[in-house]
Amino acid sequence: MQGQLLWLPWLVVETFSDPQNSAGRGHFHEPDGGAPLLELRGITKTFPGVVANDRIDLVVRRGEVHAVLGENGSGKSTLMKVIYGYHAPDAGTVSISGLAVRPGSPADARGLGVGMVFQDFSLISALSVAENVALFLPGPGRLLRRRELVRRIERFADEYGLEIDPRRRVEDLSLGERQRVELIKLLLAEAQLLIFDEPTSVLALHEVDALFRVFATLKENGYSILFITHKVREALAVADNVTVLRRGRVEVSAPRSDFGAESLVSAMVGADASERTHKEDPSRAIGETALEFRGVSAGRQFGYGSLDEVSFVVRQGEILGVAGVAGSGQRALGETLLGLEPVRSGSILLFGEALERHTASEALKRGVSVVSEDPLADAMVPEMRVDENLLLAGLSRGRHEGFWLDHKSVTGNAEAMRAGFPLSLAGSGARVRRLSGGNIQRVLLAGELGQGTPVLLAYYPTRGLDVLSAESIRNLLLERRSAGVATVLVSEDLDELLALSDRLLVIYRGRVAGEFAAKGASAQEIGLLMTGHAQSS
Amino acid sequence: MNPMNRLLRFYPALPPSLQRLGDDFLRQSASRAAFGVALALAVFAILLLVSGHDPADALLEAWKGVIGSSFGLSEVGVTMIPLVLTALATAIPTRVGLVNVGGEGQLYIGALTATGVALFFPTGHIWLMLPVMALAGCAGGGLWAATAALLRHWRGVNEVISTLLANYIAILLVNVFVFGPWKNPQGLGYPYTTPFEVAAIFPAIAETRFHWGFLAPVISLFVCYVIFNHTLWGFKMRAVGGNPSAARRRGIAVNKYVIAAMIAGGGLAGIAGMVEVSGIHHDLRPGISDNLGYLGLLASWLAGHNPVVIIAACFLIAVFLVAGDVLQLSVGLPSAAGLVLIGLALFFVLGLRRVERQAL
Repeated sequence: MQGQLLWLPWLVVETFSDPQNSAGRGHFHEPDGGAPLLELRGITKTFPGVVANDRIDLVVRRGEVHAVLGENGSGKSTLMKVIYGYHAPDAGTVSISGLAVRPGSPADARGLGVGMVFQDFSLISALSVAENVALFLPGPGRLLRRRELVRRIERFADEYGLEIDPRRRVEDLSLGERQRVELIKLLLAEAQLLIFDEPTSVLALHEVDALFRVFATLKENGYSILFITHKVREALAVADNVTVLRRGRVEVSAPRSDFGAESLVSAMVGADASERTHKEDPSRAIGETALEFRGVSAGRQFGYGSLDEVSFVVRQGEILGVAGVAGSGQRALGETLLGLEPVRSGSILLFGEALERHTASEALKRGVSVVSEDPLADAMVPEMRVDENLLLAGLSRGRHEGFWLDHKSVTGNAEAMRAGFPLSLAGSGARVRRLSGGNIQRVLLAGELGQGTPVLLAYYPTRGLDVLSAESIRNLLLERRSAGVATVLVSEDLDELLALSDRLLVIYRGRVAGEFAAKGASAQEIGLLMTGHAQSS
Repeated sequence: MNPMNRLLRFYPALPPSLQRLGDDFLRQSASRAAFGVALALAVFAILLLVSGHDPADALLEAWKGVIGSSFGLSEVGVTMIPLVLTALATAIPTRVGLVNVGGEGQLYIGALTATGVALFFPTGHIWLMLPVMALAGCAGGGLWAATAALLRHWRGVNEVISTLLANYIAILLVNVFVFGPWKNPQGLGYPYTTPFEVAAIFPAIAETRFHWGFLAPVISLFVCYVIFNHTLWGFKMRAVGGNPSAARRRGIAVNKYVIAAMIAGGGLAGIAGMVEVSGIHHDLRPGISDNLGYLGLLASWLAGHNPVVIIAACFLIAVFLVAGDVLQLSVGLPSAAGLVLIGLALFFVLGLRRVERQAL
């Protein structure tokens, strides 16, 4: 308790004269039960080009398991970082036990009893469990009374069913065990509200069950749990209350008993699915098969993000949308196509001919372009200039070969790319490292779409772009489609997929869970397939 | 916190106009380097003062002995010949993101293989001997560096460690030969090989120690400059160094470039070894290089791995080294004075570069 008092001078004590000030928002529902431990009012957080959180209200009471459900990019992680004080919200307040948290101060949040179990753990692998816990705990002197600490850890571990040996080194622990260490750290630091960010993504199935039992015990002992997930099944299994986020807004917030799997899924993917306009171009001709995956298995066997017997075709003049929750194997599609991930079985065919050497240069030479999902990591050289990066995009395609590098052709190439691209690009001489995310995305798109290749694999092409730019990129993709380009479009945005694609491929855990004609497809059915709830007939 | 930043904490206290002036000044890499060297000299002067010497007197002596005398200048040139080569031996692998700390060892191996040619295949024709010896030195240094590149490729061994450790092996390997099978029978027991035939020796210029071996760094610099700036190879090397993952996705054979750059670097260090035995020692002996490999590494970092700037950096280091010798004779300073100056210059020049990146 003394540790908390120390933070008092930093706290802005604020009481809400009108706790119902947001009652006007229709969906919002305040759960009954204990006193509110965490209260968010009107949280808005924008990043350049994106509204990550839009006027979010959320209440977590003592002894409640609250699931925050949403697709990738729905604003879950941003919201958690606001609660934990990493991000200062543009508007709105976070209060814990009625005390307002100073925006942007993790120390405040921790002092008030908020603990966060991160997706990537913050443990030091060379130290033992007890030593890691000691590092985390505040307290005068930081004298390590190892034996006492080990005893305390064992007591907590017993009480909450967190099987762990405090003397073991963290590097010898499994990911599930490490997660328990994170949790014990927080419990010993007297956290009251435990935030779990996608805790099951690193766990095996039996570990998930164990974690949920731990949730139950914690709840009985008066802890509150905020549980972030994109898995409907898990939210239904453990939560008392569920809040669904969609595109940065609270779609619905209600007790668990109000929901079934279908209603949660449609809240996640959007109920207005029927109103989506599918953009058709009757004049275009569907041509021959350009890209075919024939029973391709790749990546670690049964591993995260691998491919398992994936088959599909994309014909000229067609867009195939790929839907799936993050980590379902989307990345592996590009990696195998470029030969960066070895193919275990099956084959990849371009215009009817199988790739033989499975190298990037083979795929590029035969007409593949890839809009990478992470341009700075996968596609660009940050220290190089914009025009140099545009030249890089055209390498291995039969152009720009030879020995000499003619500086005039570098500029000429950049000018040509600029001319063929509907959006404005940053200056040729600017280093990519210094550009904003949106501008980097533009350079990436200009370089890839400017190659005029017959096969395009585009990951999240409109990511980071403002609304108008995103729209013109979508139009450009449709133009290319009409001109006979075969496109595979990977996106998190189901609306975008349904609007642009001719057909939709749903993948789940590296497998094709279903394939639809996009026209008239039901978002709800797709959502269920994406989350592993149904197999397509 | 970066020590330079700590030194510059007073900076925000200056009036804004002065700060702007300082920012502009520091943004120019040439003026930044000059400023760094000036700071190094200032600190060196304080060190002299503390150790009881008159700094003005000492620096004047050094100036007269190095820049103001033809002997001093020729010694600077003699030092620069291998230094430029070992600097390029670091600069080329840096382009693809490798750190070659093995210049010293590659130099020794190059000297060893070149000596082998000079001792066992004497032809008497200078136009045949010198190019073949240079090729042998290049091959020796290149192969020595190739082990590190291949270890990295196959087993993921960090090239900093492997090249560094290989230095000790290389030096001892040379000792094995000069103390053993290659020892001059008429050498009164000294660990020297038989002196080379005249055709295997770079002729001296104008009765100094400066010799025609200077052509090796000049040609190497020119070739590196052209490859780095005007060929697709150089462009792809930069891509590999800047982001290997992106380079791979662009169809660039990353591993080939990495291995080739390491071999090229080692080859140039090997030529440095050949130039030293052929131009200076005229035989092979222990200690043919007084840290030339490591000083080349410093020069490359000082120059930001830019082949043109490397000339200036090597000149600076050579001047400081010769100045150290001059000061030893004239003022009675320890010969390490030159190394102290080099260390200070590196500290300030690189420190200011970091400051510019972070602060401006």
